[in-house]
Amino acid sequence: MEKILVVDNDKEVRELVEVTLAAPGRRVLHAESGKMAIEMTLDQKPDLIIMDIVMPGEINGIEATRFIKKRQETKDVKIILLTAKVDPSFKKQGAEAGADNFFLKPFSPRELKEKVERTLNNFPDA
Amino acid sequence: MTQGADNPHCGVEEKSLTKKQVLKYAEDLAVLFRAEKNQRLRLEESNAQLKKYAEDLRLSHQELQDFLLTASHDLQEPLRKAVTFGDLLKTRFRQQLGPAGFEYIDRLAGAVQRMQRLLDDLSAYSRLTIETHPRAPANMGEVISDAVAGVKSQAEALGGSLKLEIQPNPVLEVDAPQIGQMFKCLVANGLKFRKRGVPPELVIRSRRTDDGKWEFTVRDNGIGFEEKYLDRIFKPFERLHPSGEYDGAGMGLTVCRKIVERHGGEITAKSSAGNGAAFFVVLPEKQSPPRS
Ligand SMILES: Nc1ncnc2c1ncn2[C@@H]1O[C@H](COP(=O)(O)OP(=O)(O)OP(=O)(O)O)[C@@H](O)[C@H]1O
Ligand SMILES: [Mg+2]
Repeated sequence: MEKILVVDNDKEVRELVEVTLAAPGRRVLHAESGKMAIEMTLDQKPDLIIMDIVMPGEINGIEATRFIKKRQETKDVKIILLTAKVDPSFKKQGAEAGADNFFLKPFSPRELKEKVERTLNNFPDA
Repeated sequence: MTQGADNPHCGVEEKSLTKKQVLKYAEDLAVLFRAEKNQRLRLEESNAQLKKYAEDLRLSHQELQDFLLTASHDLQEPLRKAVTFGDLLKTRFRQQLGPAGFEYIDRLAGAVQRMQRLLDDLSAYSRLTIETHPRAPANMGEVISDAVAGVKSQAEALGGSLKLEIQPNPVLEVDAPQIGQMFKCLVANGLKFRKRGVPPELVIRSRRTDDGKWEFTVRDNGIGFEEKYLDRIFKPFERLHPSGEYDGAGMGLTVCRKIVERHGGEITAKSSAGNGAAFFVVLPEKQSPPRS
């Protein structure tokens, strides 16, 4: 069973991502903060995390990415970071933290699906 | 991926989605799902069509094989009659025929016999696709030495030899009786096309190829053939040497090639007139899903 973890404090975003990616043989898990994302990752070992960079709480998306990519047992989990702003410094920080891919909000369902497939299959971005 | 630009309100601080964005997304999602569903349907349809083509092809191939088998069988019947009446002629009209008439009838009988052999070979060939055995891992050293035992003693009786250098000895997934038949056919040729006055020396070797398959070489020290005829010798009823000196129907190598191809392998040969011949058979270790 493939697992995808969606991390965003906005429930609506998580639900939209879930219906878009729902497929047989795949489970979409939810987390609403960076802290919860780390706990669930250690616990559930998802294949992929789609995570917003900006979230309220002490751990944002970049910090959560850094933590997950540093741990031996979770470093292979793929991470796509979401950002609502074209901010080059975010992209740089995210890449340094080890994110596999980036994605701008808002996005269309087709773009989301393609991005997820590409990241899961180790294809570079087109 | 620059949709952020269309949405100036979607800033970092104000990051929750607007009603409008959610609605737009839901619409896009509906469109996407519909497109995916159509694509799935089209794919299923063309898959079903492909399956049907494959089945039709298999059936018509099967029909052709069946036809060949029945035809060669049915053609034997009139030939047997010809032989019978030839014998009758010889016994009942001995006087009238005289020695010349006798000889003509013998030649007639000879021609009929050749025809019968051709038909036998043809039906053996078409049975090949019908009578298959399940593919199972087989020790090639054993398969080959069993298959060539008869030819080996013939070669030794002629003062020659047949050596097996199956080293390393692979275990391959094969239809063992068929593969055995193929090796037998190759060494039988090696023995048959020997040089007059030279003891036949036959060798079978194996080696692993760079791409992980197995190559078997059957080499002889016989009369050889001119390599420009290489394509011809694998075709039905093609023979390079005069039938007066070397008998045969010209079906041996055709059958060999068919067996090898049915195993997903390849067969070829190297030779030059007067210098012996070498036949190369390359077989994969495992069989991909069965082919017909
Ligand atoms: N080892 C060999 N050396 C020289 N010529 C060969 C050899 N093997 C085959 N050939 C040539 O290729 C022709 C075709 O071989 P093939 O085995 O198909 O037929 P055949 O031996 O003549 O008849 P059959 O095998 O049906 O009894 C032979 O007639 C011969 O001319
Ligand atoms: Mg032959």
